[in-house]
Amino acid sequence: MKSSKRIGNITREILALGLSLIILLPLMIMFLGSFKTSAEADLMSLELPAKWMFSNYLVVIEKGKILRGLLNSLFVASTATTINIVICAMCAFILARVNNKMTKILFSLFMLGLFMPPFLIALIYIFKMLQINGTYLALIIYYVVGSIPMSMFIFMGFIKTIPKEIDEAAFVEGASSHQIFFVAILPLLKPVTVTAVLLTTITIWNDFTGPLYLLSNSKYWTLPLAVYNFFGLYSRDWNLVFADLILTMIPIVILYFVLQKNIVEGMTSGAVKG
Amino acid sequence: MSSSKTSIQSRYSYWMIVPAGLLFLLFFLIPSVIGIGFSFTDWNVNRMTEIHFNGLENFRLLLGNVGFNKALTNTLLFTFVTSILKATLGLALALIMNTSIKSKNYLRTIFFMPVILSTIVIGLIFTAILQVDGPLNSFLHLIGLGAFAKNWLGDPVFAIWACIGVEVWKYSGFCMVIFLAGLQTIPKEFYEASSIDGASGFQTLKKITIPLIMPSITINIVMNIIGGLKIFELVYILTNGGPGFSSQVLNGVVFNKFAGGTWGLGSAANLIMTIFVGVISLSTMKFLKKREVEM
Repeated sequence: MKSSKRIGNITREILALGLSLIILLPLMIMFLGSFKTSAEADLMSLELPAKWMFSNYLVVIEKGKILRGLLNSLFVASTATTINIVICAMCAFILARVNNKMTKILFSLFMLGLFMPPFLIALIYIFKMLQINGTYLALIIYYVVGSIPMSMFIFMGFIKTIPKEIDEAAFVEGASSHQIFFVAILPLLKPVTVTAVLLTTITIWNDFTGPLYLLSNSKYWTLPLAVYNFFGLYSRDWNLVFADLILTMIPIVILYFVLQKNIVEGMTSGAVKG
Repeated sequence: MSSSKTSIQSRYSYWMIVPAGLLFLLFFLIPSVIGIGFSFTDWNVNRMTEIHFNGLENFRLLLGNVGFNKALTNTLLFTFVTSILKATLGLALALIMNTSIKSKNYLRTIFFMPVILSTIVIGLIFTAILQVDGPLNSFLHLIGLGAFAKNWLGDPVFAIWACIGVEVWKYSGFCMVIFLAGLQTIPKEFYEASSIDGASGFQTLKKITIPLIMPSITINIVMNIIGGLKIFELVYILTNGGPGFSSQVLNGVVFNKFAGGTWGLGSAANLIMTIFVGVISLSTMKFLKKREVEM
């Protein structure tokens, strides 16, 4: 390699590594701060704690209602994601295979949801009329519907690449369209289903707006709202707040490191196919 | 045989559309229509049964209100600046990553990580970092830029800019990944031919790279615009629109009206936001798509 090219490469690498510090440093301050005393944490330095106070985490787990928040998040996210994936895969199959005015209109309506913000106030009115406002059901419905456009988009894009001949051969054998879907098509959807599940789950898990509008009873609070509430009570003790943040980050960060490739490709391929 | 094609199409049972379609209709489309309707009423949570149409009164109230207009200009400012900064930084990072450097995987992991973290986590981290006596200002003093050490979250002038900064911090990595995918579709021969012709790095960028990654530019810019116009959580957590309403945004106004019980006004604000999102994102998309080049 020419030496000037080499110097160029090294400079670029150093520059990129330097920029990555901008991402890392705030996270490090938080991480280290979570093990410090309140006074130490206030300094927000990169110094190691004088004593690693693991007890901070115990305080947070007890006072921050982390367990409740975690269980609520798990319940809501897994239920909403499952429902969303199943109904969107089925619907996308029909929309991808049948090409008439109705399916075209339906598709356009679904795509509206990709950029149009939901009218939350009116939605709450409907929930009140159905007497389910403030319940898990309302939050789950909100999440299922909110993720329909993206999931539909992802599934449709993929199903279109599955040859129609498979369907045609099965029809000749006398199969019905739902038999075709569940027996022939569904197994082929594994890769894109992983993408859709990850995308939907991460979006729901991290969401703060839904619970803010919909949940008035704190026993239903998902993690983001529990964290925000904890901060409201303990804003003077940054060490505890930081420990709270680390605890809530752990599930997603673990998921990220295990499935990073899937997550990154999934979140961006959904965009690129547009 | 064309007849078998149409008969096959008709053999797909439509019931598989029903669950998704019905839920979407009941809990997205219908609320949207109802919401638009309520925009023209004086719907107030305290008088749930006495709702009167008041025409464009809500819109007159909002658009004549100083706070709302500030939210409007903040939202447009936020959207414009973050869209450009996120895309530019994303492109710069992608260009660096696209060369033969060793720490590619590490860098991609780090730069993309903020994307998957929840806004509450990032909002609270930066509430700490951006304090007047916090690490950012300490660092600025340290490197002699003390003049730039402002009261980021507490100064009416800088609050919205603090939000802009955090948003760019969070999502530049997302733009980077999209641009990387776009850059990787450019055959190396193009660059080789360009350097044989003696083109400078900048000329190559302008005449070859950018036209060929136009689709990625479109995606990034349009997604940034949509996200920017709908911004809510980050601002709510960092500043809650404050001090006063100096950093308020459209979606924040919607929430405030909701929390305050003036649901007619809230719906009207939501409608205004929806119109802005629709018009600006669609026209930008049309404009950018026209400039996409066939390879």
